[in-house]
This record gives sequence, structure tokens and C-alpha cells, in this order.
Amino acid sequence: MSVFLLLTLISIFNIIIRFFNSSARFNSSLTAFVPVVLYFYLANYFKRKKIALISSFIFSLLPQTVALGRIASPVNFQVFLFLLFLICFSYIRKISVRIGLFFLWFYISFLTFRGFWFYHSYPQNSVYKLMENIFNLTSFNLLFFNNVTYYWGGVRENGILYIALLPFFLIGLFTLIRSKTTNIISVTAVIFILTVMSPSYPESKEIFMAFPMLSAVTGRGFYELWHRNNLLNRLFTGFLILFLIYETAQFLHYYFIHFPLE
Amino acid sequence: MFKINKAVFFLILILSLATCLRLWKLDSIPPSLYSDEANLGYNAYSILKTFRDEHGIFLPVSLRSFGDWKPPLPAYLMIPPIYLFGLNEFSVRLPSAILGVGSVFLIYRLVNLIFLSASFRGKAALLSAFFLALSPWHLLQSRASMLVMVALYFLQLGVYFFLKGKTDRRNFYWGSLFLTVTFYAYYGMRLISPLLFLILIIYNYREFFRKKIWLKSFLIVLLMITPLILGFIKNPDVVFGRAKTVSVFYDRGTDLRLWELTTQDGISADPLITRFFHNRPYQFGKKILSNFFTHFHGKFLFLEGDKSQPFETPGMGILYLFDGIFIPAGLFISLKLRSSFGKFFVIWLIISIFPAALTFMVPSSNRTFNAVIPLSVYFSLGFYYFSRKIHSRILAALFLTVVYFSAFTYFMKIYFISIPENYSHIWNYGWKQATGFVQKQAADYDNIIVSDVGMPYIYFLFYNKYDPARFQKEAVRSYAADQFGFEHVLGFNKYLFINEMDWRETKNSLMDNTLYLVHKDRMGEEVGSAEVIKYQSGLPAVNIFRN
Repeated sequence: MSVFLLLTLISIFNIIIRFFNSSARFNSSLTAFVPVVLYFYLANYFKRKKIALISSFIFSLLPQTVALGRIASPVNFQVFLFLLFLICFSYIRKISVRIGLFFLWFYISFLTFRGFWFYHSYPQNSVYKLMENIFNLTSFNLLFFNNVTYYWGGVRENGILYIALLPFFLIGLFTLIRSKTTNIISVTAVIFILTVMSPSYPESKEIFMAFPMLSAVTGRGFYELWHRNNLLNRLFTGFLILFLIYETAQFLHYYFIHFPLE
Repeated sequence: MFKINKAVFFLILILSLATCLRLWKLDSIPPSLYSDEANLGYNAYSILKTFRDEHGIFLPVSLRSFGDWKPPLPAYLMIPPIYLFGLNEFSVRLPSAILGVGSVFLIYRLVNLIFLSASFRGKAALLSAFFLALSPWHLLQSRASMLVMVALYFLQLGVYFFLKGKTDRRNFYWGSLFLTVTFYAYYGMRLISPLLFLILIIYNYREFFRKKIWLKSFLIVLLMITPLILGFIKNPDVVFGRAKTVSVFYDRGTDLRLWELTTQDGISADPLITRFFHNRPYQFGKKILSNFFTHFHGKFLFLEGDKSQPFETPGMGILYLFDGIFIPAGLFISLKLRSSFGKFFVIWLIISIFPAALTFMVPSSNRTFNAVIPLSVYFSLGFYYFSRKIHSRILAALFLTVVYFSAFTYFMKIYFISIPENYSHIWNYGWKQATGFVQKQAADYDNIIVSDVGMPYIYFLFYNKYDPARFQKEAVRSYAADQFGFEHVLGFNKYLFINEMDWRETKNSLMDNTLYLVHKDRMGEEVGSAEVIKYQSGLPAVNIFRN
């Protein structure tokens, strides 16, 4: 099947999941195309379309992507803008243009994302609190079991990623470090540092900007595991895919049935 | 020749340091015997005098103790020091301290053996031993008599001999023997040791399945676990007694959440769909996985540590903050190594944490103690890797030494000064002093009533060296487990222990000619006792009233 057909299917899935019983139409329609932008960025970054496609799909499935995509949150546009900026950044080599681009992005972000703590508050100044925040943010608990970074509650029953994605994430991280392809990890680290410095942490909007990167790490791990021609790996991956489907169904059931009640 | 001598020299230095750190002021730091330590000590004393434990069981294969069914090996190991030095804190803690030093020596041998073909093995082995000797986690468990140190030592010994089986197959027998011995040291080992045993067999299957070695090894295992099997046939609690009360399945929270979600689905929902989404396997599976990964939380490892008594080290984690840089690096190097033994410690780490994930009080430094070995090895690998990367070796060594010794000094200050002075309550301080006080007055009173906080009966037995044969006959027990699964002694001789005593109510109906010992947790806002036993910080611990 052609890559573009699959990409179209991912977009359709994103549009459906956002428009189903939701009122935040403009915001939703915009975020439905974030996976497409992510695809183009990662296709160029990894030089492998499959990894980009898998990562985009993983990003579309994430609980917070769905939850935020269905509400009018300024961070949706920021992720879209951020990825566009990264694409431009990866194609442009001239330093002066890059600096200009960075300031342009900063300016647009300043105008459209006033909720970002950096524009109106001082950072967290207690070293102990900063360390505590870093450990919380990088914990398995937050990543896979209990995402407490939502503003005003949110779907805390799930982590940032599904549990089924844990092996892929770890393999992806290991592969990226081993191959010294660490740009994605560096970008994630910068966003994480900005997040932990927020005085309102753990509630955080800006952390959502790291989600495409986390999806990319996971996608890389999935690709690595699947492409080792080994029956055991394939069986394990198959099992994890089935579990991922079950977990996604769990999340959607929780989101549509239990979340409004709670 | 010179190289060997140099390694031996450094090893002797490390072992001397480990010995000093583990034996210095062993009787007074930690500031008091914790109830579990006193219990093991008194049971050892009881076995020494009567061949029976406090419950009157002849040479027990599991100590019923407080209803937590402690494996008996640590108590048996205390018998020689108690015989030699008497029933006191030093004798009780001595086996753990000695085995703690032994564990430092064994990590040196293990790393040398596992990374046999690696160029860095000598340095990595010395570094591992050094970091284990200074590890706060290892030091805390070595200086307290808490089962896990004994278990870890025999586990290391078992793994070491099993790996040595490659060169001399008779070592498989020793390996099998020591791995099975751990069953009698700590209940978590009944899960950890078989899993490690299986992994070791997979690693050595060619040698192990030759010339009926496997058969003889299995016979040794069978012979060793026979007492446990016989004990289990008589009373299943011998094996599952503790597991029943600390198991994640014992915690009602998960079931209640399941009930809540099922109810929210409503009566109109298809029962099949409801069961598909809300079922015990998924909920408990998620809980167990979450418990497992909680043990890798940086806050637990580097900032706060174990918050449960008495494993708390206020103001720091179970590892130094500094370790957070080197352990991930070491783990990465270990995974990159081509040798399958490089990955052995990863498996060891995972297996060590698995039993704790099945319990509901997480994260736990006690139940995951075996992980200290792989983590020390990773630290040494990471440290070695970084030191190789830095060009100015002297500057790097100086910097690392200063940072590491600052962290170590901070831990020493907390452990040797702050805990005795300000946190002695963590170790149930006060009961020894109360026992001493009561001993002088006991003859003047008909009854001595004690608020049952921290199992005080065991302190009265331990410090009075109460005749075990007499206690076995006199002890009044309900054998009913409290909310944490513990069974209480209601009384013996003229002592009465009241579990839920509230002094504000008790004081209104006092018995004549009775001495009351009330723990501060049972006092409420009341003041004005006749005598007060104080913590070393000066705050009241036990209040004494006369009537």
C-alpha cells in the first residue's frame, strides 16, 4: 500500500476521532494534520518513510493527543507550528536564515501561546523541587501509567504513552543513543527542562510539544524490533500490537464513558 | 605479578574499609533494635536454649514470629554470636555485618568471573567492590539484621559457584546448594532464586546437562527443600503465610476501582463489553507493572528513598544522587557488550525487582535489595567509561573523588549522627529504656500494661533474657491478624499488651497496683505522666503512669 494512502488513512482517523461528538471544530481540524506534518519531518530526519509513518500513527493514538485534539487548547497550534519550524530548520542550512526563522517562530509563539509560563512567570527556583520535577517527568509512572500533566484534571487513567509501547520506546531509545542519532532526544530534553522549570508543574501545556518526539522514539523502536528477521521478535511485536489495540479501546471506552462521569 | 599484587592490595583496603563501616558502633547505630531484629534475636536465643522458637515449634523451617512467617536462616546464624557474646544488639547484628563484608568480596569475584574476557574486568571488579562497600543501601542493610543481607550473600555465593561450573563441574553442586539455601533466608528468594537458577542453567546448559550433573544438582535442591515441603504439608502458611498478607491481590484498592468502573458502565451496558474492559487480569497486570517500574523512579532512588520504617534515610535516596549519571551509562555499556554475560546483570536486576512488584507496599528497598549488585556493577562500568573519556585523568579523578566523598560524607552524617539524634523513632527507640525502667520496678506491681506499638513484648523478652521455655507456656496470643497481617501477643506473666489503647479513655478506668507504659502515639494530647522515656532528640517516646 502506498505511503500516501496510509498517511491519508491516518489523517481520516484523526479527523473522525476529533470530530466525533466534539464542538472544538477549528482547533480539531488543525490538529488532525499534525501527524502529517510529523510524518514529513521524520521522513526527512530518519530517511525512512516507514519509521515516519509508524511514529505519526503512534502520535495519533496517544491519549493526550486525542483528549487535547478535541478541545480548544492553544498548545495544539503550537505543536503544529513547532513541527513546521523543525521541518524548515532541517532543510535550511544557512545560519542567518535559521536564526531569523527561530525569532519568527518565537514571535508567533509569543503572540499565540500566552499560556506558556515563560512569558509571564519566573521559573521554579528550588533546586530540590527541580530535581523532583525532573525525576517525576522522566519516570515510567508518568510516561506509561498515570499522566498528571493535564490542566484541570484530564485523563489520568493512562500515561503519556500506552503500556504496550514501553518495549518499543526502550528499544528506540537504546537504538538512537547507540547510533548517536540524538537530535530528537535533545529536543525532548529541552522541552522537558522547560516543563520542569514551570512554576505550575506538574500541570503543563508545553510538555505536549515533546509528544511527537516521544512518538518518534517509539516508532524507531518498533521499526528496529520488527525488522530483525526473527520469529520470536515478530511474535512479540504481534502480541504488543494486539495489546496496543486493546489499550486504545480501553482508553476510548474510558474517555467516552467514564471520563464525563468522573 | 605486580598487577595481581596491586589488585590484592586495593581489595584488602576496600575490605578493611567495608569492615570498619559495618562493625563500628554496631551495637548503638542504628540507635535501637527494630522489632524484627529483636524478634530474630530472641528466637535464636530460644532455639539455643530449647531447640524451639517462641511459638514452641521444634527447629522451625519458618519462624511464625509476628505472624509474618520469617525464614529462619538469619536466626540460626545468630546462635553462635549469641552463645559467645550473649543476647545483645551486637550479637544480633553481627552475622549481617560479616556477610555484608563477604558480599563486597563476592562482587569482586563475580565481576572478575563474568567479564572474564574484557580488558576492564580487574578495574571494574575493584570499582564494584568499592562502590558496594560505600553504598548507603548496602551499608544500611548490613548494619541491621533484616534477612535480606543474609539472602544476598548466599545468592551471590550460589551465582558465583554456578558460573564457576564452566571450569569445574563440581561447582554446580555448590551453586545449587547455596541458591537453595536462600529459600531459608528471605521469602522473596523463593521467587528470585528459581528464576536466576533457570537463567544460569540456560547460560550453562552444555556443561550442566553433561554426565548427570543436572541430576545430582536437582537432588541437592530437592534434599535442601524437603524440610520446607514437609513444613508446607503440615501448615501451608510456612510457605505462603507472608505472601498472603503483603500480596498485591490482598490490597482492596484495585478491586474497588474495578467495581467503581463496572458500576459506571450502568445496567444498560452489555455485560460482555463491561467484562472486556473492566477485568481483574488487566487491572492487576497494570498494577503489577506499575509497581515494578516505581522502583526505577528517580525520587525513590536518589532523593527520598524508602519511606517505610526502618529503611528510611531522611534526606536522601537509596543511592547517591551522583550514581544517577553513571548507572544509566553502565547499563548502556552492559547492553552493548557482545558477551551474553554482559546482559546477565540486566536479568538479575529485573528478577530482583519482580517479587516487590507483586506486593502492595511499593517502592520497597528491602524487597528489592538484590538489585544492589547489578546497580553497583553498572555504576562501576559507567564510572570506568567516563574516566576513560576524560583526557585529564588526574583532574577527572580529583573531581570525581571530591564529589563522591562529599556525597558519602553527607550520608555518613545522616546515618551516624542525624538518625540517632533526631530520627531514633524510626528504629523503635525507647522500648529498651522502658524495659530497663520496668525491670527495677516490676516486683512492686501486680500488672504491667503496655500500649502495643512496635510489638513491645519482644523487647521485654529480649532485654530481660526471659526464659524461652517459660514464655512458650505463658504467652497468650489471639492468632488473629491485624490490618497489616501481624499477630499480637496479648500478654505473658504480669505483662498485658493492648493493641488499640487510647490513653484518654484508659485513664478513666485504671487498675489498682498497675504500671502503665503508654507509647506517645497512644497518648493523644494528654500530658503529665510520672516518668517519661525520651527519644534522643528529647521528645517523649514512652510515658509511664503508676496507679
